Amino acid sequence: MIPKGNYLGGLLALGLAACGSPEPTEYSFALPDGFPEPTIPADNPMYVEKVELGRWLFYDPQLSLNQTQSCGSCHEAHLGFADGKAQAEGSTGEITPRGSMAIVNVAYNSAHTWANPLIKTLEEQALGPLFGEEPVELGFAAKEDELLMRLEANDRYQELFAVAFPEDTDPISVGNLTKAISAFERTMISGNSPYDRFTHKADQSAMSESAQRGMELFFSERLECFHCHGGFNFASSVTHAGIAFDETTFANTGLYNVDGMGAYPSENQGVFSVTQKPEDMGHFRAPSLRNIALTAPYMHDGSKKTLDEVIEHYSKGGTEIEDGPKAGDGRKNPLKSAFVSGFRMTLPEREDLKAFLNALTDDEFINNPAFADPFKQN
Amino acid sequence: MRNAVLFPALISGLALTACGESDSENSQDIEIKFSAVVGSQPFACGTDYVDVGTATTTFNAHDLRFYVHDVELIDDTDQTHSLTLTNDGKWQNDRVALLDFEDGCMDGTTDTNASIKGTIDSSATITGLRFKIGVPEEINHNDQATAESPLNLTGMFWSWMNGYKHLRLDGQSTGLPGYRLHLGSTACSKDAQDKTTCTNSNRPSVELSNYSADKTLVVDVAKLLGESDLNTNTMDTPPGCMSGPTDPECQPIFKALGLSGSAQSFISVP
Repeated sequence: MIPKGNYLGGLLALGLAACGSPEPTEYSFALPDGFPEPTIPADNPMYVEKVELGRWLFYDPQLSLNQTQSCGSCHEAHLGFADGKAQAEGSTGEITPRGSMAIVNVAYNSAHTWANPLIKTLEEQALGPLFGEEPVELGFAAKEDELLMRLEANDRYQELFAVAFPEDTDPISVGNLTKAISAFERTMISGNSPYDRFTHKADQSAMSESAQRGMELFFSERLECFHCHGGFNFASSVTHAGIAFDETTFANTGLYNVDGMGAYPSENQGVFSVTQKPEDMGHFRAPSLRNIALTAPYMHDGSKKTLDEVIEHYSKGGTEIEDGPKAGDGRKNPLKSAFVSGFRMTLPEREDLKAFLNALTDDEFINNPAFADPFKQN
Repeated sequence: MRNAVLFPALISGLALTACGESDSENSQDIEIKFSAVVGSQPFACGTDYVDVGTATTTFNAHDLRFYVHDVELIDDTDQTHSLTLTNDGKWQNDRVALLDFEDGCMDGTTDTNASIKGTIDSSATITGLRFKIGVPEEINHNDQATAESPLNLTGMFWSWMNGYKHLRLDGQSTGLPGYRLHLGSTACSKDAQDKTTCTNSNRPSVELSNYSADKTLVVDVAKLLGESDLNTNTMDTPPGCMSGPTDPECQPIFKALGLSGSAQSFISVP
């Protein structure tokens, strides 16, 4: 047995060498100041080639059944990797109940999508758009063979999958597809906004005086913004390699109250849809505010068109809707977060706050060629 | 090598005998056959059927698949024997089997499967059986993208719950261009250990007597939809039943599947 085993091992080694499969290159994050090491799933190590594969896949319209959409169709760089729509539209025209989320610093999310405590990894999240049927997004439910056939017919993918997944004899698979896209998304780190340069690079000129005043307001107990949009990522439900606890939280911000008892409209009831726990009604994840000026309209359903409308909502401690099917006084939603209690602010203060929110836009991030559509490069 | 393999087998054989399994040397291959029908007619993917449900309608189904697990066979002395599924790398793994009555007439796979195969450690005469429909909870929320067959069929993914559709029946009626019945576990949460549990398991239990190996179990779509009005759908709910606990269209489905008290009527012994 022993000699035979060695012989086989020798053959395998020779085989690999003969095929010329190069070793993948470790990917190292060039993290901005103040950013912790992201958590990388043990079964999806970061390789340069895998990230590159993920980028091609992310922007490839072959990743929709009718070849009209890629992931990038709903996550466009100049819109902060969101799509500028209140509700996203799938490849067959079906409208999703919620808006496309901005892709920014998603490596640090402890939960993904707007309101789903079950989806903890990007790999899990990718299955939704690819294979979801209600609504159809990319449209590959029960069509995974077609998807894999397309990838196998492509020389670039043949090469990149083989390098990115060196241990797999049959590397073009649904599992590896989601891993590669997730690896690419993990690299999409934004931390060079005017706020970052002001805070970490001592660049006093990076933020205007108005934005500096806005920053003080943002971090004040009067406005309470930072309670849910705090930390380096201006978000809740953040995790990284150094965190010993799961801090996934969701909050009801008093957007709706259709029955006077806290209910949100049936198509968007937040975490309640998943858990069916009454206390989860209308609970949504507080996403990162980085690049927020680019990602209008706002809230899970795009119901706030501008930052002014968002600030108005929080200053009033919720939204009252007078008529229509969504009528109700969200300010009196019994499940509303205690931090959404409303505040008074002057008009100049509002301008200052907006100036600060604008200072979270990272031009280097949205123009980074490493995150751009490779089909449009050269 | 040879001795090393045989020795544990001998030990386990002795251990089984010691535990009082009188017929541990005996075993039998089991094949439980199923046949899908719509009332008196055989089920065929993409075929029109009339008089399904409570409304006057024509119903046409293009998908009918469901998972099965925890199969037990009951012998003529009321002894229960767990079925060890034969892992064929396709329709069955060690824990779950997929029954598939659609032939890809629209979205699914061209392959079909109408039986469950395995072995029991008894040669007794089988007169009854019980099983559960669905994917067992302990594997329902594992990574779908890298799961082994039959848990890697994207048409059975239920990604919003990070789980599977236990059963799907998709079609159209005169009144509804898209009727979908997707049965899956709902009201799910993760605990501190990251384990997902769902309050509404939605895994129907099937228990049948008067069974014998020569009989083919009947899977009747007309009975599953018998109390459903297939022409109408409550506003603000998905067309059909997506397992919503309060969706009115789910209530007759839950009843037919035995999920609301009474016994299921979907599967029977002829």
